[in-house]
Amino acid sequence: MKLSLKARILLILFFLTLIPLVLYFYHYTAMKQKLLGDRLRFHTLYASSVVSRIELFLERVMSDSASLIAAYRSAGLSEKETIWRITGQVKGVFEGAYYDQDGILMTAVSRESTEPAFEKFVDFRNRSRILELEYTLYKEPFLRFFVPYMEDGFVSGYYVFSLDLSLFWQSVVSSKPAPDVEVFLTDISGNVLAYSDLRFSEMKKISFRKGIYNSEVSGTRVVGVYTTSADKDWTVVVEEPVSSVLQPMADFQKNALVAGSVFMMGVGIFAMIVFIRIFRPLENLKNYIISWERENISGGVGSGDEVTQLSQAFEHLIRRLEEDRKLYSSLFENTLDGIIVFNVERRVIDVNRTILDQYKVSKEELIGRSMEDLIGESLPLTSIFFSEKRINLNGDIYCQLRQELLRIEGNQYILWRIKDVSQEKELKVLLEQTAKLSLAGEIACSVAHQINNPLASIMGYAESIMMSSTDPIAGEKAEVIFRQAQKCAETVRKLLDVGRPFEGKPGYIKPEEITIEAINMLSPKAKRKGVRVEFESSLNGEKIFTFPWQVEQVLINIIDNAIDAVRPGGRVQISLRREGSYVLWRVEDNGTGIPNSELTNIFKPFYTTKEYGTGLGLPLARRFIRNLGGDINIRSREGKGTTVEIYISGGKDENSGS
Amino acid sequence: MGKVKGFLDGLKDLGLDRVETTFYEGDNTLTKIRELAQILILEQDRYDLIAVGGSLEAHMIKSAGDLKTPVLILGGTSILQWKLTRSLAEPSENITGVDNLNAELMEKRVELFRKMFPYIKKVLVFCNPQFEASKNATTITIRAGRKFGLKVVPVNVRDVIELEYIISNMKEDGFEAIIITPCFYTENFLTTYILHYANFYQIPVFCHSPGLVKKGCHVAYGTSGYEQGFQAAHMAYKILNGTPVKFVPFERAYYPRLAVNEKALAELGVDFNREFFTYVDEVVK
Repeated sequence: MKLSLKARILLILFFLTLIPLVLYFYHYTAMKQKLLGDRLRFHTLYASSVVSRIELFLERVMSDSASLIAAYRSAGLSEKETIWRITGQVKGVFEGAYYDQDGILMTAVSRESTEPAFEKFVDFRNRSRILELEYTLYKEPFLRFFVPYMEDGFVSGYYVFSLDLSLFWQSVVSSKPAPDVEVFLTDISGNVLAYSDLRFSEMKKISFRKGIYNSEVSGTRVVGVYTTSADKDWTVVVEEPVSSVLQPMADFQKNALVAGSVFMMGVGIFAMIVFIRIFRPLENLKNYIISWERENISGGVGSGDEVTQLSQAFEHLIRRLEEDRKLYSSLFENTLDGIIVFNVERRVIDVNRTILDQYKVSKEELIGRSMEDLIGESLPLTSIFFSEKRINLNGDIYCQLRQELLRIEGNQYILWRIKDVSQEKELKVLLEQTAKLSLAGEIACSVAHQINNPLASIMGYAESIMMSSTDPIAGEKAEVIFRQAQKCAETVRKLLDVGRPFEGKPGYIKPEEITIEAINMLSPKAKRKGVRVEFESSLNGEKIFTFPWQVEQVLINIIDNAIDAVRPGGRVQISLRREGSYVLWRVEDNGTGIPNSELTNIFKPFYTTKEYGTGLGLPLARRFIRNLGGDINIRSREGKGTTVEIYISGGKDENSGS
Repeated sequence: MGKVKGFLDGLKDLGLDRVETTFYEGDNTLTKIRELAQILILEQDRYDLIAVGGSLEAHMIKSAGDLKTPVLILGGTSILQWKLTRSLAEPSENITGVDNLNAELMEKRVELFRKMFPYIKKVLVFCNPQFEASKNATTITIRAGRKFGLKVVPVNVRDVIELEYIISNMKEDGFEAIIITPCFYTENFLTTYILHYANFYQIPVFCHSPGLVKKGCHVAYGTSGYEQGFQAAHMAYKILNGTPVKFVPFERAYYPRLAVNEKALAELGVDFNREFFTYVDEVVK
C-alpha cells in the first residue's frame, strides 16, 4: 500500500514523538534503579552509623557512671548522694537505686519522684548490664542498666540507673538524612524500642529485611535496611518510602510532563500549521490542477503521492502554458494591427513587432513612454474608437485607433490596436481626384458633342465669309471668329482626351525620338517667345515598351508649361537618362517658379494659373504616367525655376536582349 | 524570655535558622493574653506553628476559638489539669509541648526543702486559685508537706501591699519560709516582690526554677526555661516537618536541677543543713 505524503509525514511525526517517550522510559527506569540502589547503600551506612552511636552512647554513659560512683564513694558520699550526683551529671540518667550484693534494694533516688519505682530484688548474676527497657507516661523509652560497685576487689553492691533514651533518640531522629526517613531501634528479636514519633508507638515487632518491601511499620512501600550491633543487643532499622526516594523522579516526571506537553503542543501546532498552511492548499491546488488538466489536457496525471502528482500536473501545465504563450506571443507579434499595451499609469509596457516594423522604432524607445506623449492626451479608461488619430511614433502618423481595456489577474491594462491609414488617405485623395477627372471627362464628352457641331458650322461660315467677303473689315472679323472657334475646337479635343481612357496600342519606342518630336512640335512657340530649349540624353538609343502617344502628350504638356513659365530669353533644359529600371526625363526651367502654397494644387484638375489654361494638363499628365507605372515629381523654387522629373518604368529594350 | 531564647537556639541547632517568627507579648496580664489569644486564632492561618510560653497561654488559645494551627508549649505544667490533652502520650487537642513538671516536682521540692531546712515546720505558699491547675499544684504541695512533716499553708494575695503585709507578719504566725508554686499570678507577677520582701524580712524562699536563684531566690529546683525552650525546638522540628501533632507526644522536661544562691543564703541568716550542698547542682555565689 502506497502512503500519501500527508500520511507519511504524520507517521514521521508520530515516530518523532515516540523517540522522546522511549528515551523518557529508558531514562526513568535507569534513574529509578540508580536512585534505589544508591539509597540502599546510603541507608546501610546510615544504619551502621546509628548503631555505632548507640553503642558509643551507652558505653559512655555506663563508663561515666562507673567512674563517678567510684569517685563519689571514695569521697565519702553515701549511696543516695552518689546516685543524686550521677543523675545530675550524667546526661540521660534521671534516677537510680542501690542494691546490695544480694540484689536487695537498699535505696532509690529520682530527680522527679520522691518514690522512684525500682524492684525490691534483682538477681544480677549472669545478667547483661542492660537490664530492661521501659516507657514513661509520655511513652518515652528508658532503659535500666546496672553498674557493679567493687570494694577491695569484691562486688559490694549494684547501682542501677534509669537512662532516658528519648533525648538521645531525639538527636538521632533530628539528624535523619531526610524527613521521610524513619529510624527504629529494636532489640535482637525485632521488638521496637524507640521510634521517631507516635505513629509507630503501637508497633511491637518488625522483621528484618533489606531492599524494597512493604513496611510493617509504616504500611507503605519502602527502601529498608537494618544493621545489628556487635553485641547483638540492638538493631537499627532504617526505612524510607519509595515515593520519597523517587521524589526526584517525580520532579523529573513533572518536568518531563511539562516539557513533553510543551513539545507535543509544539509538534501539534507545527503539524496543524503544516496541514493548514501547506497540505490543505497543496491538496486543493493538486485537485484543482488535476481536474483542470483532465478537462483541458488529455494527458492526465499518473499515480504517486501528492507531490508527484502535483509535479506531473505542473509539468503538463507548464508545457501547455509554454505552447499557449508561444501561440499568443505569435498572434500578438504578427497581427496586422500594431498593438501597444499600457499599464494603468498609461505608460507603454509592451508593443508588438508590427509597430516596430511598420514605424521603424525600437521597443526600447517606446517602452515607458506616456500616452500623452504619444497622442497629446490621456484617454479615459474606457473602450474608445478613433477612425483617425495622429500618433507620434518616430514622427506623426495617422492611424485608426481602437482602445480596449484588459483585466488580467486583477491588474488592468490598456490595449491600443493601431491601423495605419496614411495610404488609405492618399488613396482617398486620389479617388477624389479621379472622380473629378471622371466627371470632367463625362462633362467634356457631353460638351464636346454638343459644341462640336455648332463650332463646325461657325468655323465653316467664318471661313466662308473670310474667303468670300470683300469687306476687309468683315474679312478680318471673320478670321478672328474662325481662329477663336478653332481654339474652342482645340479645347474640345482636349476635353475629349480627358474622357478617353487609352489611346492607341503600346509598343517599343525610343525615348530620345519621342522627346525630339515633342520639342520640334513646340519649337515654333519657343522661338516666338525667344526661349532656348536644350536636350541631352544618355540612353544611347535604347527602347522602352510603353504607350507612345501618352508619353508624347505628357512631354508636350510639361515642356509647354516650361516654355510658358520662362520669361523671354529664358532657357528650358531637358535631360534623359536611365535610373535603375526607370527612364527619367528631367525638365528644368529658369522661370518664375511655383509658390510652395500652390505646389500641392497643381495636380488638381481645373486648377490653373494661366489666363487661358484649362487646369487639365498636369492632372492628365500624372494620370498617364501613373498608368504607365511611373510618376511625376515637381520641385520648384520661386523666382529660380522649376524642375519636373518624369519616371516611366521601362525594361531594357528588345535589342539589348534583356 | 529564657524559653523563647532556648526555643530559637534549639531551632538553629536543628538547622531551622530561617524560620520567621512573630512575637506576641502578653506582659503577664491575663486580659492581654486573652486578647492576644483571640487575635492569634483569627490570624492562625498565617502560621505553621504557634509556640506559647506555658499552659495558661495554650489554654487561652484553645478557649479562644477553633484551633487549626498546631500549638507548641515551650514549658508548661499541669497539662492534664488544664485539659490541654486527654493523654500526654497522644495529644488530642492539636497541642503538644514540654511538660516542665513544675506541679509534679512540688513533692520533690518539699522533700529537698525539708532536707535543707530541717528546722522549719511551717511554710506559706502564695497562690491565687483562679485556675484549677493552680489549685492542683497547691494541693500537691500541701500533700507533700504532710508527707515530709511540713505545714504548708496557701495564701491568696490580691496585690503587693497585701503581699508585704503578709510577709512582714508571717514569722509572727510561725511561718518561716515561702515555697513558690506554679501559680500564674504568683509565678509571673508576684515572684519578684516575694523575693524582694522575703530577703528584706529574712525569710527563705524555695523557687521552682533555677533561673530565679540568680534573681535572689535562695534555693530552687526544676528545669530552666532555656532548657525547656531548647527541648521544645525538637518537637517543633517534627511538626514543621509534617508530623501530625497527635503523633508528637508531650515530653517531660529533662534534667531538673537544684540551685542555691549562697550569698542570699548567707545574708538570710537562717540555719540550714550544710550537708544539703551535696545535692546541689549549681551554686550561685
